[in-house]
Amino acid sequence: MSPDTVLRRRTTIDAVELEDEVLLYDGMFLRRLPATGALIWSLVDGHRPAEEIAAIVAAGRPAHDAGPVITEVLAFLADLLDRTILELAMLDCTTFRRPPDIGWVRDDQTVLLIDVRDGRRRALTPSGGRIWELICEDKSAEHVVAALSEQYPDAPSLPADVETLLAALVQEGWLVRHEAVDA
Amino acid sequence: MTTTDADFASHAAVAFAALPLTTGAVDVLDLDAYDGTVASNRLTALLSDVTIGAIAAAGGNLLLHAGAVARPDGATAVLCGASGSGKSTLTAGLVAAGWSYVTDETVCLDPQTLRITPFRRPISLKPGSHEVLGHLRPVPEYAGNWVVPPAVLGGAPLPEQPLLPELLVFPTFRSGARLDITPLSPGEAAFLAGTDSSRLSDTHAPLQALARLARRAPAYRVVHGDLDAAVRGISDLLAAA
Repeated sequence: MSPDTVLRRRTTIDAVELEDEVLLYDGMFLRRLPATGALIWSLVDGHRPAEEIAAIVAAGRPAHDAGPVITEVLAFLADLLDRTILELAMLDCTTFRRPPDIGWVRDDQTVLLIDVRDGRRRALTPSGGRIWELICEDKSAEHVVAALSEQYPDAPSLPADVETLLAALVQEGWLVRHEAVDA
Repeated sequence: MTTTDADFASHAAVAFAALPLTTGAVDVLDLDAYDGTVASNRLTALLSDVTIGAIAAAGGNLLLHAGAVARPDGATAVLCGASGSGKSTLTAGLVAAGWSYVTDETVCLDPQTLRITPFRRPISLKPGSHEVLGHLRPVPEYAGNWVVPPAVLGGAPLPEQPLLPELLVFPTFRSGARLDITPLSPGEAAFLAGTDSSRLSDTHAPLQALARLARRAPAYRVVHGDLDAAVRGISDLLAAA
């Protein structure tokens, strides 16, 4: 999980606040988030990047503790993501843009990405290439999933696979979120 | 019918009488299936099946793996804990101190009102507690768990008022330990109670029911190495609740 990852609460998780703690239940396991964990949970809103959540938590601690606190918060969020209590918040109407220094070419089944600034390259698989092409047609992540679902109706992991690839492409600098480019 | 069989039938009748009213469905238990040469073993197995049947019939309710005793006004102390935590021994000790016996196995709470349905089944006491509960020794005495009917336990009769949880206790027996009573936060209490619940996924809005319980009843962790000290400590908490 990269620090700029945006997370949201899974709708299948039931949550209740008890003073400064939070109890979570997914129909099988009961979990308790005391104090700081409950604060972190309250800050996950589907829009805030993980690093912003960590900064908010660290702001309430002595300055010399900021670094370790940020690391712990990011690890905590990554753990909640691994336990499927949180999920990536990229599958909304978020759109992506190809930065102007990124070029690409299709070579038969493969799509090859090229960064003209330093010559860096990345090859995408056939399915990854299809996702790339849809994104370059100004499609949101949600529309990408919808389009591919028609092509691959028996792929239950499709939304997660699309999320994972888009998150990786953003982290590696091949794509940026639409808001970032306009800024 | 041998003396042993007669005792078994008598205890079984008490066990059935302890069941809450059902919707009219009839369950048939094959007593011949309970093999064994010692009455207490067969009875323990029967009680286990009766309990499982009662839990299955209580779907939708919040079911805590707990004992419980009540004040005359219906205020109830719920003693939560896994098997081996000493809750049956503690329940028997509190009943001997004069509180009303509600259950030693499963506390059944309405998830909205938290009203408790009694489940006054015979208490099954492991050999480890026989020395401190000698007054409950069966005659003739037999090896293994003692199965003690509610009528023999003593204590006050069940209150006429509705039973509602006013105290949550999470006991732990530790040989030689001094009595230690520690308050728990509502979050801790709800989490521990939920961890010790039966079929939480069948409870209607389980998280909200646990939260409702934790907000209503103050909770304490009680570590003890002496039954009398634990009974005094919990009695004081229940009297003040």
